[in-house]
Amino acid sequence: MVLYPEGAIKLHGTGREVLERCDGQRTFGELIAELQKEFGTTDPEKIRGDISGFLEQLQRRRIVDY
Amino acid sequence: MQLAGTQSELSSGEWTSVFQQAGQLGMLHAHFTGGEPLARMDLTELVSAARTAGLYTNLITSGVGLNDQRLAALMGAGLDHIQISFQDSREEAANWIAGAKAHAHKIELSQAIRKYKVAFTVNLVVHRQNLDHLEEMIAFIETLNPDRVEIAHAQYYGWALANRAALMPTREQVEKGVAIVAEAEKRLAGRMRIDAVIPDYYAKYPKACMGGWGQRLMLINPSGKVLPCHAAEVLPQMSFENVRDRPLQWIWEESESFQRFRGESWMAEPCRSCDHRAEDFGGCRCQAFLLSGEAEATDPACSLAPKHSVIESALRESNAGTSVKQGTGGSSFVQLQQQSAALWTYRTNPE
Repeated sequence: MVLYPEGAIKLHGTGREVLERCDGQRTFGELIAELQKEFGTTDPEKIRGDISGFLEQLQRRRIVDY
Repeated sequence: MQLAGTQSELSSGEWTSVFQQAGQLGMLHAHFTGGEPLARMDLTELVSAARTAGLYTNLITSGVGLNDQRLAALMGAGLDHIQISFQDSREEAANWIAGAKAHAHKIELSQAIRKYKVAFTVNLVVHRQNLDHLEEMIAFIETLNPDRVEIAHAQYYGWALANRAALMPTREQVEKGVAIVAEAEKRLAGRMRIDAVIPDYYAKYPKACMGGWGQRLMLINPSGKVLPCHAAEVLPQMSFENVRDRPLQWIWEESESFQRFRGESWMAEPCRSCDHRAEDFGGCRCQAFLLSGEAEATDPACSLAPKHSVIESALRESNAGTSVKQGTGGSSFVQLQQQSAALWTYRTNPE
C-alpha cells in the first residue's frame, strides 16, 4: 500500500515489483534491465513501455521522481 | 489566559487511543485540521501517536504560530504531509481576506518546509474577488515549489453562505478559471500536481460529498464528538456519539448518525431511481438542508433537483450585469463539464 496526500494505492503484481525497486539507488535504466531479465519471456520493449507509462503516472501524482 | 472549553478537549492519551482504534479499523489517513491544529500544544506528540498507529499524517494549517523550532519538531515526529493555505498572491489582498497579516509569514514558512523531506501542498481558495488574477496566483504558487496545489472554490457553508453574493464567481470567471487550470496542469505535469474543485453551483450534477456518507471519513472534534462530515452539526434531529463513550468501531458500524444517510435506502426521488445515485449519492446532505430545509432532499446543486431553482436564482444574482448569455449558455456549460470532469475532486475540509 502506498499512501500519499489525499489518497492511497494498493499495488499488486508487476506494479509492486516496479515500486519496490524505486529505492533512491537504482536508476531508471537499471530498473528496466532487472525487470526485463526477470520477465525474460516478454518483449523487452513492451516491458520498457509499460514501466515508463506506469512511472509517468505516478510522477504526475508526485509519488515518485526519476 | 485560557480559551473557554479547552477542559472538555480530549487529552493526549485519549487521542492516542483514538488513533490506535482508527488504525485497527483500517483507516489510512489522519488529517489534523481545524480550526487551527497548532493550537494544540501537544500536536507533535499527537502526530507521533498517529504515525505509530500506522496512519499517514497530514497537517492542514494556516501556518500562523508555526516557527522553525516547532516545524523541526513536527518533522522529527515523522509528519508525512503539510498543507498551507494561501488566500492570494498579492499580500494586501491576502491579508485583507484572511483578516490577519499572515501572508509574508506563510511565504517564509513554505521556504522552511522545503528543507525537509515532506509532501507539501499549497491550498488556494478562489472566489469572485481573486479569480480574475488566477494566472498570477498560480505563478506565485510555482515559486513556493509545492508538490501539489489545491485550487478550491469557496464552498457555501457557514460564513461563506452568509457572504455568498460577495464570493460567488460569475460564469465567465469559472469558465476562464477552468481553462487556466487545465493549461497549468498540462504545463506542470510531473512537477506539481493540481487538484481543482469547481463550484458545484455551476455543475450539472452535485458533488459526491465525502465520497458518500459514512463511506470514507470520520471527523472527530476536539471534545471527542464523531461526525460523518465537517458540517453535519447543522442537520436537524441528529445526535452524535463521543469516543469517550463508545469504541470507534461501534460508532463507524452501528451508530445511528453514521447509518442515517449510508447507502441508498434513505433517498427520495429523483435520486432513488437516478443513474447517477451511485456516483454522487444525491450530493451534500448539509447543503440540501441549508438550501431546501430538508436533509433527505436531492442537493439543490443538482440540475434534476426539485429545489434547483434556489441555485438558479443565486446564479442569476451572481451573473447580473455581466454579458453572459442566459439560455444559450448550454453549450458553454457542457464544455465546462467536459473540461472539468477530470478535475473533479472533493476537498475533505470545506472551509
